[in-house]
Amino acid sequence: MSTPPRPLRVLIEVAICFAIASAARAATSAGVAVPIATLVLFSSMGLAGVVRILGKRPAPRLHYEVTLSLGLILLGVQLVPENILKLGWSAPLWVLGYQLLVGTVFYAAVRARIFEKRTGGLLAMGISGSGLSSVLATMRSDPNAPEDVAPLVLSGLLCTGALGFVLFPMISVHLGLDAGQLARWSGVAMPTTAESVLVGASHSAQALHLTGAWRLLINLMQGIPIAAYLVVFTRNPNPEASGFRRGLHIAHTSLRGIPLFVWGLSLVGVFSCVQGFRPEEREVLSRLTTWAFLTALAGIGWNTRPRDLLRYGALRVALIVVLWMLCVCALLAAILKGASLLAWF
Amino acid sequence: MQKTISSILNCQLPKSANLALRLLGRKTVHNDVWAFLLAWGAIAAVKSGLFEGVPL
Repeated sequence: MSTPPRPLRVLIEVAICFAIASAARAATSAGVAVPIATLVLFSSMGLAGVVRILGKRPAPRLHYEVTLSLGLILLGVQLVPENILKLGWSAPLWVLGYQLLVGTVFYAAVRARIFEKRTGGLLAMGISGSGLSSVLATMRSDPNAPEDVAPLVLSGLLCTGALGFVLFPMISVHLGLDAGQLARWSGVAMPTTAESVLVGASHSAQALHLTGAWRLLINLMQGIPIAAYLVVFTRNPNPEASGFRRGLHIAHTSLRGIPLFVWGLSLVGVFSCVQGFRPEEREVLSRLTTWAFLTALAGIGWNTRPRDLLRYGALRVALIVVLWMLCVCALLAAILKGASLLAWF
Repeated sequence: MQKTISSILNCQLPKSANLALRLLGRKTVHNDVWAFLLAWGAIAAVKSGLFEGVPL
């Protein structure tokens, strides 16, 4: 375990992140024509590089986890029924379809002997939106899971997240995606909630709120890939256990895989759905949410060291990125095809 | 690697920071719990009008 940081140090680090985010905000207000999220990310990466060169050693890590979780939990304020309804009745089918697609692609990779069976299964789970916490929870339930998968999944998630964060907004602008299309693409295809909502935030408030709704749905449906993995790979953990006990075990593992902030987001979301906030309160909280995300983003940019991402096998990580991009392109094509079909009707 | 995962998933604050934690007999608290408390603090502040007129 790492040594827990001191509260004063956390406060100072968050203040540094906030200062970087504020400077970027001031720059965009002064007319710098770069999306603020992109500016925050790259300016903090650049600053960390300057500190590293001047100090002749790596810049100290900045704490961003609490501000990121704060933003994600506050996103629940925007979970009004109209935003959830905007996802449409087909939303669970989109999520299920993407999970199946990722599962099929990684199954093919296992058949082609690119990955070992369990490694492929856990990678598919992580890449399909369930994230690292689900992978770790599932690994605890599978005594035969290879130990080196967690770092590989972590590297894969960091690389795909960083790449998606740069590419999604650019592609979105190039193709002229609206807030709903970008939220669907980013919400379903990005492997982790943080990068997903940050992509939404780089587009518009509407895209951010819709992405939040998509991510809530993804987190609620992550039990499906977890259950699928446990059914396939832990067929007979205890021969005397009844089917009911086995079901309970799978449900428990699935629940354990849901990150804590999702419960917080859901609680605030329920409060919001029962008209817990007036429109002007929502507006103020929406701005606070954006500030929390920008502050977290400054910390993420500061801590990002591309060399570290490839520490666990550049080729394997590159393969994960390639397989993920296949799935992402297929999803984008389906979204665009769906839009053109609607226009035709 | 354990350190990296721990720092991403579960970077924690010490018990001296929080009397309630000591009373609960816990050494540390998860980041998301701090974030949840901060979120409800922010909501309470907005509802009580503390942010009225503040340019955000």
